[in-house]
Amino acid sequence: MHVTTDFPAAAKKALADPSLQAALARMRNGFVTARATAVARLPEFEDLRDRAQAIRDHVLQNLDAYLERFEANVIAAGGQVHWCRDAAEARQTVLNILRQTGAKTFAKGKSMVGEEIELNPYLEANGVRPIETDLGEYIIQLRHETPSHIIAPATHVSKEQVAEVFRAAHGHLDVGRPLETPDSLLAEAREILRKEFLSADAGMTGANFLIAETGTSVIVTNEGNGDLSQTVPKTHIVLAGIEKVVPTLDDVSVLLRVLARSATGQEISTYTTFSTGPKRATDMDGPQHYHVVLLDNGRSALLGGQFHDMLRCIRCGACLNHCPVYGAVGGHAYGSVYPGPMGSVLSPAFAGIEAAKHLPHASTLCGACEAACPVRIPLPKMLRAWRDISFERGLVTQRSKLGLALWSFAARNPALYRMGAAIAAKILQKPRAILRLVPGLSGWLATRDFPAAQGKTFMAQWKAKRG
Amino acid sequence: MADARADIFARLRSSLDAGGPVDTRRAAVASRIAAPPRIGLLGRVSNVDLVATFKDRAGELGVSISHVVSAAEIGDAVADYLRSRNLPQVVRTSPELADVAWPSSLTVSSGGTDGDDPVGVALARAGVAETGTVVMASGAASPTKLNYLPESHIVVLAAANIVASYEQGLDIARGDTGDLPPRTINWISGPSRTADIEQTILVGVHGPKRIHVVIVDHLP
Repeated sequence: MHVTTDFPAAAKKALADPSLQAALARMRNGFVTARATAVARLPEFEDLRDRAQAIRDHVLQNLDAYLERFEANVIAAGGQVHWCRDAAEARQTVLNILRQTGAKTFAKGKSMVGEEIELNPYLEANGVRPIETDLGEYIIQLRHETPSHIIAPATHVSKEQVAEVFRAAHGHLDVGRPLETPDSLLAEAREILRKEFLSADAGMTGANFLIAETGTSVIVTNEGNGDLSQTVPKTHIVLAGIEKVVPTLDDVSVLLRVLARSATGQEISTYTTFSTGPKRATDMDGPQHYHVVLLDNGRSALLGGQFHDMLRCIRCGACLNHCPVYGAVGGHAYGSVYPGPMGSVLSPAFAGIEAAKHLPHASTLCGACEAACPVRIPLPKMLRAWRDISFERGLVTQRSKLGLALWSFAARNPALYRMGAAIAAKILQKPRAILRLVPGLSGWLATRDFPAAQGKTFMAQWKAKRG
Repeated sequence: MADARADIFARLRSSLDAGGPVDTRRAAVASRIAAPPRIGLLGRVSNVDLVATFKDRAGELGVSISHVVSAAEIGDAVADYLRSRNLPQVVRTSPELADVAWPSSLTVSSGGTDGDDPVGVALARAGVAETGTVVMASGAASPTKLNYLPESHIVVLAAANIVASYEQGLDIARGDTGDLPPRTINWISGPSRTADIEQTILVGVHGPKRIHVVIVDHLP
């Protein structure tokens, strides 16, 4: 996986982008409020979170045995399973399947694993035309961008920008057509993509869950694009990470009760689809071929280690929605297809801490992500663990190193430390206008404040009180 | 890439084997799948009128509903609905519903669809009161595309198949196919929608723009 991150520079740019800031304000209000409402309507929600966590933990403890069972049941249903160690193998595998069936056009349902392995450019370079069919993914495909949110990929794009890119891409349509309203944009996308569904040679979906009991893949969507992508073309390829397996249909029912509520605040997504193998001999429709492409790409290395709990993730996006840092800068600043708290844990694991060294620091460790996570992943604890690792490997800035060296020197010299603290306490009593002139404090005070110091350190006051 | 599979399992086992041998895990998986623990019903569907709850929840999702007593009334319910919305009186029905007594005002054909039919009429396996969800399943007489391609989707649902929970709905959908469920099981909870343009909720993206459920008290 590719991470292009100069987070501090990208964040600065994002904060100064008025169109992005307007989009982020909409998102913050929408998802967080909707989730709170959905949770308030379901008294059993906290209990369901515990159960969801327990299901995911149980699977991870027995992951090899669950994957064996899943594979056997896919084959029993007439499907095929392909194992891929890394992104390159997964891209090659998908291309091979498409070539076997002579597919030239490929209707894709939304898949974050597809983004992770950078599938589209590879297919294009090899003579296959991928068409993203989720409206948000379609918009960013036309804009040649990566998603800025794992469940709302085009959340950073304004409707004017959508109209602009539709005019550029749909050149065969009347130039004078009105595209001011979201409804008119939707109608145009529906018409264009409907033709693509009906003519695509093959289709792909991701998987929200893989069911070991039956060899079934499960997707949830609101648009129905994943259903058309897998029902109309003659080949259905499922692309998923190896951690997605769950035991039974009953377990999926539990997980689905927390998934949509955590993600968009819906009680349930519009479409939840269970697919088992290719169409049966007597079925009236459905794909003739069913392939499941399973990707490791760094996941097995997390098992049993300090980032083990991250494998519980069901990709709902609640941690992004509730993160004050994500809410301020949006997804692209992270430079990774997985942004926000979950991404700042996953990206260093998948792309290496050297490439993603800024990301564990792109957090205030406020804990809002863990509080919202439906499977209670201790995200702040894992971000701290990555900070430790990056410090051990010398990946922090010269400035941080200098600051820490100064602090540790002072901490080992109590007399010096007290003297420093006394000076600081004096300075911090000064009026804000003067403090703003002090190097290092000007940045802090530009956007926030802190209580004035009392003028004496705790140690000095303690001494005075005891006489 | 036969090696990839072996490699991935070796990586997983290098961590998992610390907890015991793989046979122990296989046994744990077998027993869990043989007897999955089923959770109790949610409070919202315990000791309530399931049909009434289903109607309330489906209504919240933007689904319209008519409720008839006998199978003989299905045809008129469908025709009335289409008339009330100014929709074409031309329906494509799932073969399971071919025997319904359709009124002469309707143009009716039966079978699968390739996208040219304005109205699809299909039979649900179950309705789930918990969220007002209908459960559809593919089969020899029930095409999946009929649930997605027409602009208007009409779902016929037997009142007796309205259950409390997803788990009960899946039990019915799996039917007597044993270990192998139908190729496709669709839970449908309202019309196709998106919030991908500026978080504005828009209905009718790729799938149907509207869904109407006809609940039938006595369906043979």
